[in-house]
Amino acid sequence: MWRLLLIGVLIICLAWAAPYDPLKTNTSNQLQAPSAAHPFGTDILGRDVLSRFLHGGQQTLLSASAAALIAIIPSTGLAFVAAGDTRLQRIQLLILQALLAIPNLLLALVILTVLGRSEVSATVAVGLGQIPVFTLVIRAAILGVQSEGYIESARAAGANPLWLATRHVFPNLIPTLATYGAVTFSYCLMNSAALNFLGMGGELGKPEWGVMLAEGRAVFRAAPWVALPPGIAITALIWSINRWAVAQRGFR
Amino acid sequence: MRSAIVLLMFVFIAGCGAVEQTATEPPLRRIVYGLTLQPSGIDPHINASSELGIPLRQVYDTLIYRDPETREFTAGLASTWSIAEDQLTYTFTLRQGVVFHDGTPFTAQAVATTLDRITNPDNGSQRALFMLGPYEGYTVIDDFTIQIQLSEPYSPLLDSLSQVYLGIASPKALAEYSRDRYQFHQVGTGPFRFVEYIPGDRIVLRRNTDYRWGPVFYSDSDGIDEIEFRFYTDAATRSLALSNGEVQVMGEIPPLDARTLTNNSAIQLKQTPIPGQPLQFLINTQRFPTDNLAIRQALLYATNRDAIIDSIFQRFSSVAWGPLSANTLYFNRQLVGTYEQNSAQAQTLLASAGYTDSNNDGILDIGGLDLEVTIIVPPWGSVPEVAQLLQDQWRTIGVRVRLDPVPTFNALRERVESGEYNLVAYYTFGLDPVLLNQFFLTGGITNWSRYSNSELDRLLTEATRQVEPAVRSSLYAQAQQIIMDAALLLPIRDYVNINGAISGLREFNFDAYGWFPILNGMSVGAAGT
Repeated sequence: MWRLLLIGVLIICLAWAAPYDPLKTNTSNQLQAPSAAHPFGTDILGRDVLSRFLHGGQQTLLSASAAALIAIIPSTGLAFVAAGDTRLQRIQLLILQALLAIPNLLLALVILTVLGRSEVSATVAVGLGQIPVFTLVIRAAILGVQSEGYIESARAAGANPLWLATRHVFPNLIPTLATYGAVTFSYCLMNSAALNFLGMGGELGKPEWGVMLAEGRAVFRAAPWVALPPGIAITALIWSINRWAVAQRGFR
Repeated sequence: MRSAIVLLMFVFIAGCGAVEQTATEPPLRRIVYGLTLQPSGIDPHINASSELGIPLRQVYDTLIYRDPETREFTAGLASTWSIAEDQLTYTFTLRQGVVFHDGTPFTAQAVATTLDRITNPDNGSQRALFMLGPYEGYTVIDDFTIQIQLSEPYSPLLDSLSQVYLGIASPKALAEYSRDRYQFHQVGTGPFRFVEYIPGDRIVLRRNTDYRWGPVFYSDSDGIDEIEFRFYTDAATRSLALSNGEVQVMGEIPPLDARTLTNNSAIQLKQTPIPGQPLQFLINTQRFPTDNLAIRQALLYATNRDAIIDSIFQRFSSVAWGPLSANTLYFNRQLVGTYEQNSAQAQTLLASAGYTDSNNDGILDIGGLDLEVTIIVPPWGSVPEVAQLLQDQWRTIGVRVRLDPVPTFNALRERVESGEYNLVAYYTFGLDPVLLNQFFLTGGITNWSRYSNSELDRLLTEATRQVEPAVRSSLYAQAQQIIMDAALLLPIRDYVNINGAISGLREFNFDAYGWFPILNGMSVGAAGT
């Protein structure tokens, strides 16, 4: 966990160590293979791939983190609010299950159409798309804790529901929040890269891993080094996060 | 997680395909032809797409043709024609013994039915109708003579009549199928008959063995029995599909892939210059800061077109100098060399317009307003890459560029209608410069420079009324000069369509318009011969 976080922070900070301006084109230097001057080579417009990769990593990880928070915070709140009232719970379940039927990338695309194309709306759209699943997971965890004997007895002893929620239920949810939060982050990373890959993200040409994949795909036969770094990075990050989550509690 | 797989899988797919396979010949005399766009409809009388003409040029004959070599008009379904003194009546004598694919004999009535269909306002023709210009009506003189009447002289009429959009359709089929159904059951008199169209999947044509009435430049060979057209909208897949034998012909190969294919002996590349407009950015003269002529000119001077052509187009194209490509009729050669890159000139123009970098942020400003331009960027024609280079080139003279990508033509039109842009990439193809009218006449439907000049209006209008090539040439030369003096557009490169085909394919030729192949005489020999 700490190791993963460290890697994340490192990627975000390394953008400041990028050797070149990620937007500076140099057409006489296009599609250069990796070399000492350009360790990851250059793209079709002669931009340094390493610098784009580092800036893109910062962009991708920050927007995936923001999206994950947009998913996690309201979902946890929703689950707690509904936990207090069975009728509210039933209505919420109905709505969430309806939303669950829509694939979350599709949901994100719909939200993006309403909000208009920009970096911020892409992040919001990705985050909102994760809310139904996350709420249901937390809700199930709350139900699990609520059925424990000590909660029953505290309730019988006349404990205040708010006190119960903060003192007994919430602390028991932390492992679930951490593991499923990490998984949600990896979904957000995936979906935000996917939206950018489809050209639905921020400004054209601004480095981002999904954008770099799309750029690299167009020149893949001539210059595979453009697509490989972001492709490998996305795969490796998601794989490590999911492996960690699985190790935590036999997740799935 | 499924999206994860989709997103990353291409690496492996592309990786597998990168193993070069030698192109294999199809056993049947049948070829698969890769198209690059999926038109929203393929009815030539109704839809406007250029792509539809690639298959349908084979299905229809037109009253006249243009010879691809000389570009002169030559007989088609009309064996002779004459134009009245007042330029208002065109009389066509039609060829006898021509039969539609459904067995209907070709007569003047078929021409009349086709004209009626195009001009029927209920049918909403998007292109053919406009190509008829000041059309007033027709008179059927006898079975093989028809007259077309105009309300005023319009010299581009013959050019229009030689294009597939005015291809003559079987009156029987038109009566049988509704406006929307006809595109699936098209019947013409051409060298190939229409078999089926499955939107998004394929168009299939089969040889018309009765065909004896082609224009002089059609060869007699009947090398191919069947053609299947498939859609390859994703440019990254095109050269792969060609080199692994999925298709035998492919249009619009991306320049970088074409560069790789030049080393592949199993593939021949056919570079066809397309007359019409170059890849260009129309400049909005009604919005700050490009409402100022000095700014528009500065942007032209600040652009390094050679760098764009060297990198993105891999030197397959030449620099464009004005609103027409060099191989379009009446191109003004005086424009060659104008607005050659000159950063000093650009900076002088910006300074003379009162721009300085008062806050030292690298971006020029005037009265607290930054020098920022917005470009509408459609996804086709390498425009996104070109726009990113412009952004970087103009940054060096202190201009900030905001790129506004749009996914489709409809989205592009919507953004243009909002008026919130300084430049927009848009262009059309054609041999006759009459195509300039819709772009530069006051109130023209694509006058996206939002420019109005009575002298330019007069020149463009007069040029369509004149018949003498020398007179038209001089009028268009003046019009092109005015357009560039006012810096209404930024021309980038003359359009070259890089087609690829297996090397065994012979007689792979294009008509005078460059975009449409002549598949009648094509044949498949042994690969590599």
